[in-house]
Amino acid sequence: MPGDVPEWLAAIRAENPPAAEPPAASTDWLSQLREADGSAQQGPPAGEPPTWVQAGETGAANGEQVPDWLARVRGRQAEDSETGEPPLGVPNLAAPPPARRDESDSRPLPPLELPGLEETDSGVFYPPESPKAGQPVPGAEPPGLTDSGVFRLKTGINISADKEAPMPSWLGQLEAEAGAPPAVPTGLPSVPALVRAEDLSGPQLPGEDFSAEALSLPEWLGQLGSEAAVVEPAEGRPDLAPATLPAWLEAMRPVDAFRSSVEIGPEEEQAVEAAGPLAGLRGVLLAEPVVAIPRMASAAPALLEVNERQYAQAELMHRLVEEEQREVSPAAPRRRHVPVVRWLVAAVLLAAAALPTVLGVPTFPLPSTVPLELDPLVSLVAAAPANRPVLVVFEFEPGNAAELQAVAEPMLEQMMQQGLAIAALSTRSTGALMADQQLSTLGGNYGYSNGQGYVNLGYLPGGSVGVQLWSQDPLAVPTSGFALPSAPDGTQLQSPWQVPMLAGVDEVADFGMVAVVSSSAEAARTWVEQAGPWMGATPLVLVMTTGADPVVRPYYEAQNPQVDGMLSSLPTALSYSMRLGRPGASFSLWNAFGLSAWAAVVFMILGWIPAFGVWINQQRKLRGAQR
Amino acid sequence: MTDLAGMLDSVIGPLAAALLTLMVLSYLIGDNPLFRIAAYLFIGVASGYAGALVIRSVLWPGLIDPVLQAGASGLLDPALITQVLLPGILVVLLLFKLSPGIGRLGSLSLVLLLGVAAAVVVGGAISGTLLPQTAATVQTLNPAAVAPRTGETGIERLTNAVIVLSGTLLTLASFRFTQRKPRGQVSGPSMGPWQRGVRQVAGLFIAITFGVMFGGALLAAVVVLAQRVQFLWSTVLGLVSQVLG
Repeated sequence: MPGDVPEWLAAIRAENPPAAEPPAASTDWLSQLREADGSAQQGPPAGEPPTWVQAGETGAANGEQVPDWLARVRGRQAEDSETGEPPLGVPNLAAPPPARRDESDSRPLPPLELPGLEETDSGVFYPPESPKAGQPVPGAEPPGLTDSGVFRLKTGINISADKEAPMPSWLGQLEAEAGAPPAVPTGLPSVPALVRAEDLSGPQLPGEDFSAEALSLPEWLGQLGSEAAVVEPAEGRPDLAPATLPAWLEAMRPVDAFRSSVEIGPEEEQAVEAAGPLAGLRGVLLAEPVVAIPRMASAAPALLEVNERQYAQAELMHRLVEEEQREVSPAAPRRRHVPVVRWLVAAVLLAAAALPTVLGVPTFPLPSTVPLELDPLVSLVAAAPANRPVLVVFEFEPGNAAELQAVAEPMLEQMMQQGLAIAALSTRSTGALMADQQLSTLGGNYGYSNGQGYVNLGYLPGGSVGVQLWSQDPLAVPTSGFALPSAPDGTQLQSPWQVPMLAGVDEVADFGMVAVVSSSAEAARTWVEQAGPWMGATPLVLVMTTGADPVVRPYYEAQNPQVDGMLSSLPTALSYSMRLGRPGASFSLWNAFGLSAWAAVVFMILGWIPAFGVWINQQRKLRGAQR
Repeated sequence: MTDLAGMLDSVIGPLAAALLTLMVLSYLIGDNPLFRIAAYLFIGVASGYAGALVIRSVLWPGLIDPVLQAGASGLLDPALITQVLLPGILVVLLLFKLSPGIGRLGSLSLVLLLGVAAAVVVGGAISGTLLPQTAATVQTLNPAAVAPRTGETGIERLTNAVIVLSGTLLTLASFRFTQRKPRGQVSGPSMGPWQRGVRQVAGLFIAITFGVMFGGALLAAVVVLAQRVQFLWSTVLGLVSQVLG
């Protein structure tokens, strides 16, 4: 587990409660170290090579590479040589190296030489000018993980090398084997930065580096009995943080490269350094895992707080992405729908329209009631002055010709019966054609011809603006006419106004009556609004299709009517024709119209019954849902 | 020549019209090439006729012929410039609307057209419909008045006047008096009882109006159908008589 400490280290903590230590020492040990050491002010400036580098560039040029920690050692060494203080960061190795171990006992090692350092028996390299043991090291590093990755127990104090401490038995054995006197100095417990493989078989710390009195040795070390050396309690020991790993340091710890306990395997099993100045060496502290191998983030990522709405939107986004990626299956071929109902309705309507025409049956009684607007219209046409032409405006397309020509026919016949001159006009492109067709057809029965009885003024462009302009001054608006007749002398007329029957017309009020035959309420309203103010006493009559009748009827039935006569629907036209005594198109269409209208009403009722059932069902469901 | 014209009027013309009528009626069995041919033919003929009519009835007598008659010396005539040349320039500018790059040059003509048309239509609607119809609605409240067209008076006229007035006001109210939908509310705005009543009664008036209009349109269509069937039958009779006779 990260952050766990060995039992023996926990025991040390128990003996040295952290309450006596500054609280920030456990996390900011480096800053504390620098404060105590004063290295923050004494170290070389950033970007400037260390002293030893400047001094030994020759050696570096020869391929000798010096690690960073050694650079710091040398820097401190240069200072301590002047002040007499031990170097910072170097284990208290002031004592002269003990007798060298017998080379025959040791396995062959790769040559390990570090420039400017001397090697002790335990394999620790130290500068030759290191301070004497037992001298206090001002600003020594607190326990913790050093820059080089070595876990240091406690440093910062120098235990006097003069004081003899009991030597552990295993150390004595080592010294006996080496045939040299045991190391005199008893330094603080420390872990060497570079450890040989053979030193890992026994305790990692030489006996002279720690005191059994100051430390509660781990279990394996405690078995060594009473021979454990007792280190004299150091007076003036600085309050240092216990050997604990801060949480942030634990988080930075490489998962695979860090070991919670110091255990160094045989050299053969150790990895070869692949980067840095120690590249190619085996048994050194690996720098690459710390630098290059991915590890845990230095800080735990902040937990994302998601509310329900954001979660729903995220789900929706996820669903949209899935829908986007989903392959749309080809649509199944639609089943060919046979429009039985449509065919049935069409067949019935066609039969209803054809039966009276082909077979003459059934017959429907002629309308017995006369619409209220018929008598005023008949009277109005009858009162039209014979010496003034009547203007008939054909405002419908060929699609509405069947109805509107049948409806307008009796009115036109009455005009022709009275011998009124008729001038036709239209604001629709095909209106002039409709006018010419009807006038020529009806006029043949009453001796009317083009130029003799009627004249087609043709197409009036401009819509509402054109109607207003034409109403103000008909002669100023160029209308080329339609199928203009020839003059009595045989010459072709260039303008409809050259026709003699229009000789007295200078404005719209000069017409004896204006009748608008329209298939839309808008066209009729345009004539009421734009031409009405310019018509004076000239009556205005609207001949409307049945569907537009309700919209324009208020103009006729108002208290001050703007329309003087109105005619719409086939029954009214038939009544008009009966009044005139000349059955026309409305009469021939009457039976077919009656039977087709009945068929349409039956279909409407038949369609209304299931629609009513659906509506009832919907109302029930709605009430059920409300309950 | 006379025989050919007679054939056109008596045989070819009615036969072509009958065939086109049947092609249009073939839409009963669904969309088919015959119906499309007839529809395209009608559209093409109508468009061509309208274009020819505009050139013959508007552009030539109003724009081209005056310039030709005036000649080069008459182009500086102020009357010709204001009545012919200036409108001609506007027409040319309007043609620039066909090209996206220089279409903005035609905006002047379009603005003039729309502005003048809007002014004419709105002015005519106010003076010709809005004010007279509003006055007519108010005047019908007089029970002593006699309707000039129907002759109604007394209670009958007053009843009709109340129906007309209430229908007008309620229909206007149903369209005019709305309220803003509350934020976050999906359904329609909350309405009070009187608002719901106004809406329902106005909806009744509107439904009756549209129903009458739909019924009238249906009757007009029935008349057209009857006339077309009658025409087809007469054409058949004419062909038979021609063949037999």
